[in-house]
Amino acid sequence: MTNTGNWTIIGSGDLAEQLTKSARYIDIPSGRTVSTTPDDVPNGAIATGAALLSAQARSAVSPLYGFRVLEVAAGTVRDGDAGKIYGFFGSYRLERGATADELRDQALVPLLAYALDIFQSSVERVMVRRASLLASDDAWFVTLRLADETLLTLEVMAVRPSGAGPQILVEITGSEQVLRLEPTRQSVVVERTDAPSRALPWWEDEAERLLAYIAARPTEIRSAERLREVWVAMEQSLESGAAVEA
Amino acid sequence: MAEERRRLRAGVIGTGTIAFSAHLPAFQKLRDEIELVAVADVRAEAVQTAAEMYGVETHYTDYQEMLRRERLDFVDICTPEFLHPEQTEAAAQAGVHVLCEKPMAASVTGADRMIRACEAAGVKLMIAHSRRFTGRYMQIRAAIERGEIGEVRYVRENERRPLTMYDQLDLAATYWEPEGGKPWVQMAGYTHGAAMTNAVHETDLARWFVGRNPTSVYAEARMTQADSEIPDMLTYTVEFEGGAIAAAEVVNHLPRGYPYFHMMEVIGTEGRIQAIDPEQSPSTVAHASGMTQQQNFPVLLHVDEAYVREIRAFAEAVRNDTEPVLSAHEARGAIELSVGAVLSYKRGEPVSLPLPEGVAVDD
Ligand SMILES: NC(=O)c1ccc[n+]([C@@H]2O[C@H](COP(=O)([O-])OP(=O)(O)OC[C@H]3O[C@@H](n4cnc5c(N)ncnc54)[C@H](O)[C@@H]3O)[C@@H](O)[C@H]2O)c1
Repeated sequence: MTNTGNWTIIGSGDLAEQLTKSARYIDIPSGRTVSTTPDDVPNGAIATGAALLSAQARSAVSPLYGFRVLEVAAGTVRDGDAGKIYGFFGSYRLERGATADELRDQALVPLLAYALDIFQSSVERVMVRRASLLASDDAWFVTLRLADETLLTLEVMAVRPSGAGPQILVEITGSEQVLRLEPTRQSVVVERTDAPSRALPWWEDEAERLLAYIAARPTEIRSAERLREVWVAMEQSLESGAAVEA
Repeated sequence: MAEERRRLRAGVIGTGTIAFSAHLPAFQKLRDEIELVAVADVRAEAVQTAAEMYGVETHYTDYQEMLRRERLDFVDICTPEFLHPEQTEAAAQAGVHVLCEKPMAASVTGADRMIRACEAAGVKLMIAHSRRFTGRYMQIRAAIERGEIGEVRYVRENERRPLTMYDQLDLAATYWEPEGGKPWVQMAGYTHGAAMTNAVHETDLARWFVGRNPTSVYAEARMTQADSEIPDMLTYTVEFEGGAIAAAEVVNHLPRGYPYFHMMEVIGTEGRIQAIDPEQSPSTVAHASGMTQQQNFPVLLHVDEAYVREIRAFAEAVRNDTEPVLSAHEARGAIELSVGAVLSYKRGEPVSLPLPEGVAVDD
């Protein structure tokens, strides 16, 4: 646990470390606790990262709000500017070798939390499939049907070459707008004659933006309850191999 | 002196959107090899226009009459899929080889009827899966065959279309409206919608790239337009023998300014292949109201050499009495997978493949 200004950051992984580093740059008028650790989410704390599914979490925020374009897109959809939404396609890839837990905590749950945060219509049906593409349990495929008919398709997998970093793609199709968001696409490309070309990312600090989001939009942080309910249905689907009516 | 090759005699059944946008222009390019001697369509005006525009001698409103009178080598069927089995059977019985637009049929039973009729009559049958003849996919398949990405483990294809895809082509004939007022592509009695009209491309390519049989499919679908009767949006995940996965999202009625979007990705044990159309646009123009991007192809993803290649490939099989490059059984596999997707979204559950014999989409 680290206290920086009015921030209290709980957790030990990469995300907690980054949040701790960034906390000194983001002012917040009163005390806020952010936890990234599932077994330590005190009352009133905001859960993120691996803590999103914690039974103790009252409110949750997807770490994807650390990307400005995803924050803006969420606003566009919520404000109705994209029109009637047809579908949400979210893809989150980690490097090969990521463990099943890392894939769940760093990719799947953040993507799910982001999608559910944007779409408030209740989840009607859930189908989850896990696959072993390049290694054991290195991919998840999730389809969610909402009561207003919006179709959410999520895929997460550990297929990126090592050193290539994560890759996120969100596509939202609507009657007025179609949004294609690739927050991790911003890079400079280095081409060499003796080696394959490399893309060096240069997007801004996600942890800092995530804290800025929390500080600026206290009323928009949602309850974690719905996320957990959907997760339970997803686990049932995974276990049974069947679609589950949520 | 080289012996002059006899031009094959061909006829087209159905002179609507795909005929005007792709098949008729392709026949024109192939005129040294193939003579398009007749066209047939129930719409007198459309078929007459086709004949006039493309210099075809004879036109019919009854395709059976065309089959009886024209001594065709092969027929090219460009009608809605629910008509493909009966029209293929009629051609086979007349001893005419059959090239038929995708989707092969509206059901697996229909596809089987087509295969049986052609086998019994000793005529060739090829389904015009145009993407197999399109540079983009041919390149992908060739890279897979060269072993560049190892064993294929994942195929993702997202395909999205704007509302008025064909408008800019200004075609002489647009969709058939069998009951007046509504095109058949939006009518429940005539097609199952996106799973067939475009996702049969996705199901075919997934099978082609993975190279194994699918074991199950899960799909969800919806309608985006208030007056639709059938889903025009589909998302599905397919599992193959050996654990490879293929997935697709297809949406057909997006805002008018939206480009024809297409993302294809194939992940293998040793690498990845990707093709995204708007990103790889060879032209971007900025103007007061935004940016316009253009592709090197007009509207369809796969015009226009694709159709020339496809028709030529079939004609060569007819001429040389060889097996068509794309077997009808392969195309049947794509139908089975698409039908499986339809069954899945109707039942709200995953569907095992192969499907039980005789299963109907309304089961
Ligand atoms: N390869 C591709 O990418 C591609 C693209 C578009 C369409 N297609 C396929 O082509 C086929 C036709 O689609 P379309 O978009 O051209 O539809 P369309 O409605 O524009 O054309 C179909 C034509 O068939 C005619 N027709 C109907 N009943 C007939 C009958 N009994 N005898 C003769 N003609 C009859 C109609 O009058 C119409 O002119 C479909 O199977 C479709 O899936 C393929």
